[in-house]
Amino acid sequence: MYVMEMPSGYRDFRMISVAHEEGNLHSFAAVLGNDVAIKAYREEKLPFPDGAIIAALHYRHVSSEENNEAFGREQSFVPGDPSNIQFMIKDSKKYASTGGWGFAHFENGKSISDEAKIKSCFKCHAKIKERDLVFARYAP
Amino acid sequence: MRKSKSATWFLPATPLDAENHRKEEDLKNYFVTVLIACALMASILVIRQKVQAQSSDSRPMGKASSRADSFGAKSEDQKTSLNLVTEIPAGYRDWNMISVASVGGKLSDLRVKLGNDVAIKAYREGTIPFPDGTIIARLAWHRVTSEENNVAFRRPAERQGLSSEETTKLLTESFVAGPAMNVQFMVKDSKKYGATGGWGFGQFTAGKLDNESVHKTCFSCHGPAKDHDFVFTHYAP
Repeated sequence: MYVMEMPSGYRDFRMISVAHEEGNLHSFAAVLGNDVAIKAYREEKLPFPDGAIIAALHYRHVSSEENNEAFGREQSFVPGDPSNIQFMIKDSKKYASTGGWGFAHFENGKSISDEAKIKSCFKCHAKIKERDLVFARYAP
Repeated sequence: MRKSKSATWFLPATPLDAENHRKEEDLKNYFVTVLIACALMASILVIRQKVQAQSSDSRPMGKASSRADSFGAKSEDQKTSLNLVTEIPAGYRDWNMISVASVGGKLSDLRVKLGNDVAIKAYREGTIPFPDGTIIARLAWHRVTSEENNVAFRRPAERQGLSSEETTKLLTESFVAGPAMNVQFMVKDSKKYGATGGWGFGQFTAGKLDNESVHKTCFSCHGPAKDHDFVFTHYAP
């Protein structure tokens, strides 16, 4: 029921968008999608078809010293250490109880997708039902 | 009659006198050749006259256009020395991700660096300098807060123990990519762009190459990254 293995080749997925949490999290998110996901995004197909995989790669948000030197002021932020990678995997049968999506959270390559974690994922994502539980919009 | 008369007028006297019985056929051939030669001469004269007439007619314009030419040539020179990438590389939106970034201050953007296959391979293998054929794309968007996301995030955030103010702060500092700002490219061609570290630079807004003044600082600004082949961006794991 829980996603215990990282979808292979996710680092070669194409880019959906980018996000940044300044406050407590201080993180960058790069949101990537496999071919099924990218096609659905570009064709504005909702709900996402089975087979769609969306990956959120999270990194710490750090100031880049070498870039700032070039800019002449502190204004450039780049990804620091990776903090976690999250996946949403669409399989309307397998993950029917969580809106057709399998949620997964990996840290250091290991899935820490237990019941409590997945519940909290689903609870928050369930609030954006009209977008098939997906927050990220495609960046042009 | 007239034909032969004009023909005989052109004929060298001596051979005609000597061979009074030259065949009519020979005469015709000679005549045709001479006629063609005349026609050619005439048309050359006409063309020359036309050209002269044109250049004298457009003398005032000529000055303007020659100024325009030299201006054009100057801007062409500048384009060459700036090593501009004048066309958007095809398919760049399908390239793999190198990294993400944001620039604060006035820009306040969110950006993504994508690389074509040559670039991604070089990054993953740690190849420096980047080989010819490398293209790096930098896509930038205005960073915006997402109302729809924040409506959904508020309650879970509060449930995690954050106060209402803390939650508001968290949400107002949570950004997504908004409207597109511009797209920049670095194209590696060590011969073509030899004068600027082997890199051609181009910035496009709404699909159009931005003016030259925008590009004047590309190479000089990338100078400090010389040890990394003038590329600031590092690969995000």
